[in-house]
Amino acid sequence: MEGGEDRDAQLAQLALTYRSRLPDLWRVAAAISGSREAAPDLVQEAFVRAVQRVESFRGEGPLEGWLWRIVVNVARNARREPLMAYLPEQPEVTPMATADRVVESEVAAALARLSERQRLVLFLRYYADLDYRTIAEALSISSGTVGATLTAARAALAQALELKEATS
Amino acid sequence: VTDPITAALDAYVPAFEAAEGNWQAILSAASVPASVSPPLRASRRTRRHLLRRRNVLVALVVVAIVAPLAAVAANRWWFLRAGLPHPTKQPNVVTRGSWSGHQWELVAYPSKGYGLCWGITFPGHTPRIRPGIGQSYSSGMAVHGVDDGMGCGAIVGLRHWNPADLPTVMFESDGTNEPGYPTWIAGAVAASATHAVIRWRTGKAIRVRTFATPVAGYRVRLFATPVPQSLSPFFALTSISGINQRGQVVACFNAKVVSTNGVYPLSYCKP
Repeated sequence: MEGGEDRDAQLAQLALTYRSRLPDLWRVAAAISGSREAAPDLVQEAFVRAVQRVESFRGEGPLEGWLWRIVVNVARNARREPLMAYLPEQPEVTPMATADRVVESEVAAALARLSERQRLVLFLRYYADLDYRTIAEALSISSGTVGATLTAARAALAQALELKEATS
Repeated sequence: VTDPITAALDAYVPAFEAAEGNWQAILSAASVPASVSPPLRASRRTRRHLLRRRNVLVALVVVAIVAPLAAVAANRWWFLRAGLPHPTKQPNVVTRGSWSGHQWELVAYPSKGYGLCWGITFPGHTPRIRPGIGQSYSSGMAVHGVDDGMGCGAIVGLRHWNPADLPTVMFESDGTNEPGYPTWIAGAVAASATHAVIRWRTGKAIRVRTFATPVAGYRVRLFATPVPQSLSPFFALTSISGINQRGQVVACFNAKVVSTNGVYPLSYCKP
């Protein structure tokens, strides 16, 4: 296929993913960023980047995995952003602050004890129902590592929450 | 039986009941013309060129217009050309300065039918031009090459400028991949605003002073600032507040709120 047609097809797939998976995309972005309110903006930003960079997609894995990698990175960066770096004298409620913040709970505390990779695998698996291959592409790890990480994450979360881990 | 892990994660981030996205806004922010994508009709070369360009006008429909280089090179002011709001008086330099070593000017002039117009221009710089994109002014903004931009008093619901001291902020933004040239934001705020505070979704913000408008009949002040590269892209901008001398919000733009006739309640902006 000619390069331009490639790109057309990729854009069409991005559009389809956007329209069909938006609630899942928002949910994953909310989980990673810690802000339910910020999630729509983060996903929007991720898709803008994806559209701008779609020609850099090399087709070595599923496009959806490549897209999820961008979503994950944008959401992770949002969580890391220091607040009000340019106006330190003006503390305020920001999208990352209190009002809309994902409820701090025992679950949040338990998740905080997991490794970042474990959390990301959990979020992508449970909130987006991604298969191992797509998760692997999104996180730049192998499918085998996805499975092992998911098992470990479930066990650690169950222990932290004092749940009786269901056989899965 | 619900898996306890699933139940826990459901409690952590409940599912979104309704998700309404805006694909066209993504294409616009990515500078991909919605009308041609997907499927794209433009050539690959043209599309790549378009992707380098980022210009947005929040609360407005953005249309970028570029004139042929030859038509504007001779003009002191690039925006004095056919298709753009015609000035009724000579343009005035509101302020000038240097960004990243490049001289710039913020210019304002009264126009016929479009109220007050303001623009950023980089004197002495011959911008790269995108030919064939269009040459008519529309929806409150025009751009020139990769750096210059101008806008007039046209916002949603206020197609033509109302000289009243409206509690609102109008602005334009232009980004560029021209080496060394900054992304910038310029705009107009209520006349009582001595400063403008621009905020991004990340929580970062910058505070800039405003300048009196040397155009009779328009009770507004103007501002212009480069946008630090470390800040998120323009589409992540959340609000612009006009602040008076006492630190009170007197003008507001909020990207997450639908305005009423172009006016945003002051409560949606922070000092």
